[in-house]
Amino acid sequence: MKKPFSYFEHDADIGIVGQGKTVEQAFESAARAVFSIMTNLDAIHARDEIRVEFEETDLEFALVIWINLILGKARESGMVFNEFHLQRNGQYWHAEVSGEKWREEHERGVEVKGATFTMLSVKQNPGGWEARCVVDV
Amino acid sequence: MNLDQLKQLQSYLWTLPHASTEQRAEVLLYGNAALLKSMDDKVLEQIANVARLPGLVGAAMTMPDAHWGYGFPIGGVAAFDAEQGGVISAGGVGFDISCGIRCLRSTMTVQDAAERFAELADALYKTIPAGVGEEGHIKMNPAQLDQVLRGGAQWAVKAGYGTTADLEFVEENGCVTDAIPENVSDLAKKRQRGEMGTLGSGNHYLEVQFVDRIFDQVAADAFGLNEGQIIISIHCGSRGLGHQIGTDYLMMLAKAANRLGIKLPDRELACAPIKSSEGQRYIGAMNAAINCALANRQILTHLTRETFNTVYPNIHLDTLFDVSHNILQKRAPRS
Repeated sequence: MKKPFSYFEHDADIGIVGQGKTVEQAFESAARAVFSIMTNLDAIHARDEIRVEFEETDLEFALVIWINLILGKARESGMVFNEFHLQRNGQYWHAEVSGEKWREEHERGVEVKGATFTMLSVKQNPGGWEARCVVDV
Repeated sequence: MNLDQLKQLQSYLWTLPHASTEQRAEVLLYGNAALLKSMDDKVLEQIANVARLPGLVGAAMTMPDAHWGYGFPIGGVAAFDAEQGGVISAGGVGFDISCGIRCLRSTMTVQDAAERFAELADALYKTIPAGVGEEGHIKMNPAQLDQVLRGGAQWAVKAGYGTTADLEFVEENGCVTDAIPENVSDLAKKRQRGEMGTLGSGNHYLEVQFVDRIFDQVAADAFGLNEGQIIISIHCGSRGLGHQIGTDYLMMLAKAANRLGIKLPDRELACAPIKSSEGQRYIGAMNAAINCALANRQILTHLTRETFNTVYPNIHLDTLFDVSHNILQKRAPRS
């Protein structure tokens, strides 16, 4: 089952919220929130996989690094991602992200330029983890 | 924004009075009452935070178009003295480094052109890619991209995109010095390989406009503008490269601020002293992004001219101006 995500209002940009039982799942949901701004993820086939990794101890910084890293990798490879599997071992984060190259028939939404520190928070609630920030569009 | 908290100094100039215990520089807001009323309260909060940063010279200011930004308000202006511990902030420059406007002045009127507008729009759409996932027709290898990052619009003209006459009307004649491509990450460079000659999405655009009404005839004459004349505005910046530099250095500066013990009123104001190694690295990378944006707008100018000439043979498009609005510039103090 896909992890839940949602959006919140911001003056000029878009706020994203990812939720999950673990912090990694909340980050995966946040990633789906970001790529759903750009296209309909249900129409994307997870044909190709890319591995990414980074190092960060601060959870809030890690969210910004994660989102910006996969946005950069997507642009570098000309791809759009729809599946995200993230693992953390202390400060080391490893992920496999999957998707495909942009095709003519893909729905074109709004390009997300990057995650920002605006309204940035990563916290554990009674029901699980929540990761949120504003993304620049 | 509630104007009760402000004090009006002139018709279009306001200030935020200090609270008795408040340690900050002066805050000045430019605009009329209607514009300021329409602004988000966050603008005032953000510019007051900027006024607390180290090494600020004079006042922290907002322009009439100010709105909620990333640490700094968008439309915010501030000067910092490197010799007084002044700082540099990636959020102050913005993520789309050197985003700006290139304006072209045509030799035709809206009446002359109107009949073929649909054909023109289709041709422009084909020549100049825009929107998410779109790549340009120009592909750069790493060595070529480094030349772009050093040479800006001057590189583009040498490569056959436009003429030297364009450069006279571009800030810094189309190229800033002190760009250091080595300070730009590999990921930033890879993101740019297919993005030269593209507009991007969001609020970026290429618009065919016309002069509807002239309010100041002397200024219009100086700019060579007449009522009904077609002009073209191109709004875009340093594309993927600039965004990646912005995000790479936002994190680096946030960590530098922590390490150097700089007390930030808002984490988004992540900054480091201009003279620190992080500050200097950012300046070198930011200048490279400025040259990238200047080159891109020069290429777009050339592509626009070519496209116009396929639809309207023998018309001319001259550069009227090219000015960036997401930028940090080094300036000597006025004596």
